[in-house]
Amino acid sequence: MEYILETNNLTKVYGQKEAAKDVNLHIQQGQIYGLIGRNGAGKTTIMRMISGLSRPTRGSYSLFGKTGMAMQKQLKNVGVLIEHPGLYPRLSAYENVKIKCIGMGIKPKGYVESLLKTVGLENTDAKKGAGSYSLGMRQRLGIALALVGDPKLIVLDEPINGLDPQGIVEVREMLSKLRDERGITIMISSHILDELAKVADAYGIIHEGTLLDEFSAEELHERCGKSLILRTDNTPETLRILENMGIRGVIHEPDGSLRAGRGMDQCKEISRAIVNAGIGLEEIYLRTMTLEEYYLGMTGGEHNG
Amino acid sequence: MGKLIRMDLYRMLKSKSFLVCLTIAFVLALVNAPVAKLMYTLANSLSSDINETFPAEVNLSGVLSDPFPMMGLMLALLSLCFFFYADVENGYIKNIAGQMPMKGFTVLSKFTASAVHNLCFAAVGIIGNLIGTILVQRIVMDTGVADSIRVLVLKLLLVQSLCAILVLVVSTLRSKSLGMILAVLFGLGLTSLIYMGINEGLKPIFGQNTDISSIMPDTVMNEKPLDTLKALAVAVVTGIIFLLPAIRIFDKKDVK
Repeated sequence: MEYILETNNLTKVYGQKEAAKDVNLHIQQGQIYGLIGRNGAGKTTIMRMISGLSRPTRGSYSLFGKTGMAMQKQLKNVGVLIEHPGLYPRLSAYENVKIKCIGMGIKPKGYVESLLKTVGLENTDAKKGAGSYSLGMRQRLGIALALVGDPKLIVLDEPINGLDPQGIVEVREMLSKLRDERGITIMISSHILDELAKVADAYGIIHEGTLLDEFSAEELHERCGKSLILRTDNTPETLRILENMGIRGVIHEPDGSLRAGRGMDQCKEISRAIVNAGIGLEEIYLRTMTLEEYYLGMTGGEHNG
Repeated sequence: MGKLIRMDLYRMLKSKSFLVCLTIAFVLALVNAPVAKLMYTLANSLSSDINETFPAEVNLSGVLSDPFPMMGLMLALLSLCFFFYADVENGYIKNIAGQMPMKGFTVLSKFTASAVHNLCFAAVGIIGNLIGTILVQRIVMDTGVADSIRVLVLKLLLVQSLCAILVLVVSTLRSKSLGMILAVLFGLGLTSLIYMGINEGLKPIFGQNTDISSIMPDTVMNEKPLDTLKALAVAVVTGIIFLLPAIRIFDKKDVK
C-alpha cells in the first residue's frame, strides 16, 4: 500500500526525555488521520517533525513517497497549524494570509478571499487586527494559513480548541469538505474524541511517546463492537439472572448500570426474566463502544485524550 | 528566495515599529542643523568668551556622507530588532519555515530585506538633514560629492554587517533584549568599553597592542578618512562571520 506519509522509527529526544519513541505511522492519500493521546504524550512533537519544524533525533519519514533531500522539497506541500496559530496581531486576517501568499509566490488577489471564505472569515472587519479576534476566529485563520499554497497534506494540532459548538461543527464540515472535494489529506489531533470520531478515517493512539496502535475507522468499529447496557433496582439479583441465562463477565459500571458483552440478541428474554422476577427494569439498550472508551481501554487510564 | 524577500519587505512596510522609527529618524534628521544652530546661539549668549559664529554655509558632501544623523543609526538598528523578532515572537515563522527546503532561508531573506530597511533610514536621514540644513544654512556644491557617495556606500555596507550580528542574536538565538542593547551600543557609539574589556582578554594571546575596536564595523564607520579597502574587508568579514552561523544554526534548530 502506498502512503502519503510514512514514518520509520521516528524518535525525538529532549535532554533525557524521549518525547517520541520509534514511531511508525502510516497515512494514506485522502485520509483524515486522528492522532490521539494525552497532554505530553508526544502528539505535537510528532507533528512538528512531520511538518519540518523540528528535526528527528533518530529515524526518518517519507512524504509522498520521497525520502531524504527529495522529501525536503515536498515539505512545501505540507500546511501546518501547530499549537497556537502564529499571527501578526495588528494585521487583519486578509493581511496575515497575504503575507504567506507573497512568501509562497501566490498572487493574493482573489486567492486570499477564497481561503477566508473556506474557513468562514470572509466577513471580518478589514481594519480589525487578528489580535482582537476570538480564539475560534484565530483558529480558523490558522487553518486558512495552513491552506495557503494548496498543500496536499495539512497537519492540524488541536484545531478545534476553544471553538464554540457551532464552530466545532463548521470546522468538522470544512475538514470533510477539504478531504472530499480537494482530496487533501489531513492529520489532526484533538482532545474532543467524539468529534474526531465523526470525521476521521484512521487513528493512531500515542502514549508516553510510543504509538500504541494504528487502525482504520472500520477496524475501530469491528473492535469496539456492541454492549448490552441495563439498569435495574436490584443489581445482585439481575446479575444472578444473567448468569443463569449464560451471560457471564458482566461489568458493573460506576454509574450503577451493568454492561454485558454478550446477550445482545436476547434483549426480549432478558427483559422478561427480570420483570418476571419482580425486579424493576429501569433501562435496557444496546450501545456501541465509543472511540473515547476504546482509547481509555488502550491506555488504561484517565481521560485526557 | 526572492518570494521570501518580497514577503519580508511587505511585512516590514506593514510594521508599525518600522514606520514609527522611520518617522522619528526623519524628524531628528530634520532638526539636526537647526538644533546645532540653536546650541551655537545659546553657547554665545551664555558666555562672552565664545565668539564662534554658526557657519552660514555647508558643503553638500558633508550632508551626504552622514546617512544617520542624530540618533538615526540607533533607531534603524532598534527597528531592525523589532523586524527580526516579530515573526519569531508571534509564531508566524511556524507557518513558513517548515515549508522551506532549508529553514535558514528565512534568516537570509530577513538579512537581505534589512538592506532595503537601511536604505530607507539612510534616505530619510539624508533628506531630513538636507531640508533642516536648508532652513538654517546655505548648501554649497563642492568637489567632494563623489567621495561622499563612496563614504555613504561604505557606511551602508558596515551597517549591513551590524545587521548580520543582530540577525544572529535576535532571529537565531531569539534574544530580542540583547539585540536591543547591542543596537543602542552600536547606534550611540558606546561599544568602546566592551572592546576595551575584550582587548584585555585577548592581550595574553595576541600581544599588548591588541585593539579590536580598529576592526569593528561601528568604529570603522566613524574613522576619518574612511579607508575603502579596510571598510570593505571589515564589512564583508563581519557579515560572513555572523551571517553564516545565523543561517546554519537556524536551519539545525527546532522552530518554536
